Amino acid sequence: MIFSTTIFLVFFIVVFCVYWGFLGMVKDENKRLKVRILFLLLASYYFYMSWNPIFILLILFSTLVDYFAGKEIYNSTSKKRKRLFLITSLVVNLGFLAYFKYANFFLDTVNQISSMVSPDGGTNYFLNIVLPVGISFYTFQSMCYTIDIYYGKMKPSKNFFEFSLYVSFFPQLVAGPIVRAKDFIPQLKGNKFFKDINFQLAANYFIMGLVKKVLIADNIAPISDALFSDPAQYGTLGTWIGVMAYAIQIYCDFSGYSDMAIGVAALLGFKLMENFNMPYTATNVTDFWRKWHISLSTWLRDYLFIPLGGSRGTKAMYHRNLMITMLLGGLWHGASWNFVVWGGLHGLALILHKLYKTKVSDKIQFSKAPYVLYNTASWFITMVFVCVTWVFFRAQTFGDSWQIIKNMFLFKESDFSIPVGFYLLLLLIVIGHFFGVKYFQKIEEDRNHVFKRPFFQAILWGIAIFAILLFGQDDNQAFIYFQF
Amino acid sequence: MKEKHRLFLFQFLLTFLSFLALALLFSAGFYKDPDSRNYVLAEKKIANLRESSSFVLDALLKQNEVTFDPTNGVSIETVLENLKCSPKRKILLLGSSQLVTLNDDWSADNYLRRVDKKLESSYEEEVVVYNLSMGGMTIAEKKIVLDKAQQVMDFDKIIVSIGPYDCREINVRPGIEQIENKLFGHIEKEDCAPMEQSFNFDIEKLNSEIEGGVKKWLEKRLLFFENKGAIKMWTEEKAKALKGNKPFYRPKKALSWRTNNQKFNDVTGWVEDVFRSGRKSLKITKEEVKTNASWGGFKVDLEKPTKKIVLGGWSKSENVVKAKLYCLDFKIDFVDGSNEWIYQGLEFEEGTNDWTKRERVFQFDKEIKSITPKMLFYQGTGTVWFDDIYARPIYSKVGENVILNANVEDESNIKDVHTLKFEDEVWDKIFENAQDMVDYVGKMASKNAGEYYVLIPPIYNSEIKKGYEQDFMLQQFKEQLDKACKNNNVQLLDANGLLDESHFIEYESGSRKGMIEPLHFGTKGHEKLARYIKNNIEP
Repeated sequence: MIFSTTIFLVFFIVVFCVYWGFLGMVKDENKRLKVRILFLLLASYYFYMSWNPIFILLILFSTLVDYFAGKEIYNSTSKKRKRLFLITSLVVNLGFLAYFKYANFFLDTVNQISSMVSPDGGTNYFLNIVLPVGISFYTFQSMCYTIDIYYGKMKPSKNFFEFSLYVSFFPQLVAGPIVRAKDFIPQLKGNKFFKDINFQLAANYFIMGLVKKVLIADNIAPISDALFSDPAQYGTLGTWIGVMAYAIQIYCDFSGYSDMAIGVAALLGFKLMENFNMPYTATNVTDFWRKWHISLSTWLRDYLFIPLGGSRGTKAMYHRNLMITMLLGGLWHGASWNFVVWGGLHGLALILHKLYKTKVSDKIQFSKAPYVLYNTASWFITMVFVCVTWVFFRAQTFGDSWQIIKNMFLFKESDFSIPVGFYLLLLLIVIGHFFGVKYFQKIEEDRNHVFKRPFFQAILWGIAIFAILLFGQDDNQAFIYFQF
Repeated sequence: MKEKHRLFLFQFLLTFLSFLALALLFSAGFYKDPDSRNYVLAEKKIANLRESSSFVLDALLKQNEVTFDPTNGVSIETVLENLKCSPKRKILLLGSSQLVTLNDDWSADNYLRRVDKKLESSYEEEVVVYNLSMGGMTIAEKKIVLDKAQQVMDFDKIIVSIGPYDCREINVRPGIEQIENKLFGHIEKEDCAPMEQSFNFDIEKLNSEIEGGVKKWLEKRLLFFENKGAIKMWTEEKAKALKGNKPFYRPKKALSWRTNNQKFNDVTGWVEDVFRSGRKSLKITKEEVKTNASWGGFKVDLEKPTKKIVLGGWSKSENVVKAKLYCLDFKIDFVDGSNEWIYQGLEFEEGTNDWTKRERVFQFDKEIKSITPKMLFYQGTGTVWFDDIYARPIYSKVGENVILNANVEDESNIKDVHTLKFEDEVWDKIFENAQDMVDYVGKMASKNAGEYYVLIPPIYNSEIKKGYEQDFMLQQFKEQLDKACKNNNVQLLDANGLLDESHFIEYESGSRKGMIEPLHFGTKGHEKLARYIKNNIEP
């Protein structure tokens, strides 16, 4: 059930009406709260089962283990016992992830190594495994609950259904944002009121998400698909256009989904964190990671980078910790060496940027005009780097990645004919992006800004919905991040 | 009600009104356009094609005649679960769109004239032929479907089609991915009772029924939704037409030739007022002394490497002065990776001259892999024309000219062929995937009963053009398959050259409109292929 489908619309209308209308009639406040939580939980399970019913058992098992592990960690007086239950939680969650997502990756690597050393062709291990949708998200979410309890950052939830809803809340269950227990569970404590719903904000987020996903990402996908399915056929210009198209596609697809998740959650009275903050305006790779997939990057920082030692210790240790975090962060995205390379390249870039910052840029004082030029050049270099690394993210094989990189930087002619309209579209997107920065930054600064031009906003919504219905693709392309 | 909620209600109404206004505006503009009927018909054709596949499957299910997948993999699970139960001998065909597409018949029942049905009818009621081929079927997909099909039933003969084009990719489409881990029930030959449908609460089916129902309801009530697809196509065409009065298209230029640094471009430099043969030639006019102008052709790989070659061509000049280089120029790429540009002995005289030929035989100490032709007019001013450029490799005798569109004609009376050409890295992948597939077929053959065959499907071949431009790579591919089949005790059926030009037709739309499509053949091609298969699999 993808957000941009009619069936989700029907599903959500039912959930919304029952949640606010029917269940809102329960007089007793405590009862109303409990019933609403239970209802949302059942709705979330239904939502997940529409992908594949059998995998609900995985979420249930993971939820049970972490709920009881959390309780035991909190109640134990012995540090050893606390650690034991923490390890149990980590082993179960990472075990599921390792099996469902990475088992064949490891076996394939073993097969490749053995085929290189063995004279008779090597091993051919393979397991028939189906990847459960959203496993990378809900396992991370579940783990940070037990980890936070272990470090004393929060108390365990006393209500099993509350915790279950935290793990499986449907707006962010299958593709994030990754929500922290200490941010979400308190939202389940108090009753919510219809009068407090910020419909304008929710509508803004949801419609913007639809525009990004349905109008932009789905329509631009064929351009990048054409390149990545047959890179050898394209020259330098065609390759750059395909790569940039993918950069736009992945951003619009993923941030569009996050926006829709935030909008849907807002309509139910819940606040989810922003997951993207105009990442393609970043002027360096550190800035990029502050703005791209914020929920994942902060998770990796708090639960991997800092426990490894963070920036404490020597520079070498800091760099090591950063590289491990980025390599594993890359691997999280997919069971392929391509993703590891993508993470590694970003790790390397982060290290180099840190060195550059401490040794060079922090020591230079710019006056206005040179600063603007410097900033523009930094942005350009960052964007080229990001686009190049997306090649590894999207390409099916290493061979394809290298072919595309070669096409990008070693001039290769082709008789590819680009319609003029495409350049105009690119220009519009770039300009729109920069103006969008100012508009959305204003919204962030002043949430009431949405009320200042309500008529203009409503007309924009009408145009957006019309464009989505007219130009949206008929066959819904699953969100890119659903493969995680 | 809170003020902001009242405001939101107002905004909601305004949004709806804006939407309605736009929908009415577009609908009005659409229906006013006399061409709108064509768009509606085109949309209905697309919708029918989409619906017809599920309609065909429904009909096949009702009649217990499911022997192929009309949904191109979307409902492969349903197809496999409901494969026709029959006590007759069974043949399985597994390949790509070449085995399911009739390029001269797009009707919903075209499958009746396809290779599988033709093969079946040639046996006169003794055999059932199953065709689980799909458009764009990759090696990975063939493996999965082959495995699952054999879970469902035992086949007497299994024919797996493997062509270079299919072996480029290993991705798996969602419909096939979802059956990868599924275990299908086996149907014994003797037991052909219909399979009982066990009850299970199918959420996906429920969801898709609700979605379909809501969509139908909307379409019935709102005209905009009824013709949404047609209005979308119309809008896109109008947007393209904003570029100029003509819709965007690639202008006519000489096939395979490009020019630079001169007064004329690819289109205007292809002239018909002066020519040596045919009706056209390639012109350069230079008014600036210091620029280097040229016409360049596309690289052509030799079918077979050779060390000796004849290079030549014709040129005419008018008032050419101070030219540094006015000549034919050929880039020779050798098999060892090195290359050379050759123009010595191929220079023309300055001044004003009628059509003059330059020709020279070149003997190298290493083998030539490919040739790239160029005609140069460096520095100087004046006007020159070029025509009839040639590069004829010498084997035991002088071979045919390999230069594409050597006489620079528009070939409007001759359909150009969209030939397939791949980079070396892609060919490496093709060889690897093809070997992998044959090894898999061999493994299946050793585990299961039945006779296994590998089929190399037909492709366009004519005296002038070959479907795979790098014919020598295709020959290597065939040799590899032959060797792999022998090693795996699987018989190879080479139908690659089975069909001639008459079996292939041109693309109807897209950037290759008018060019012959080299892969898919028509009804007669399917008949011929069916006869070929039968003659080769029956003793």
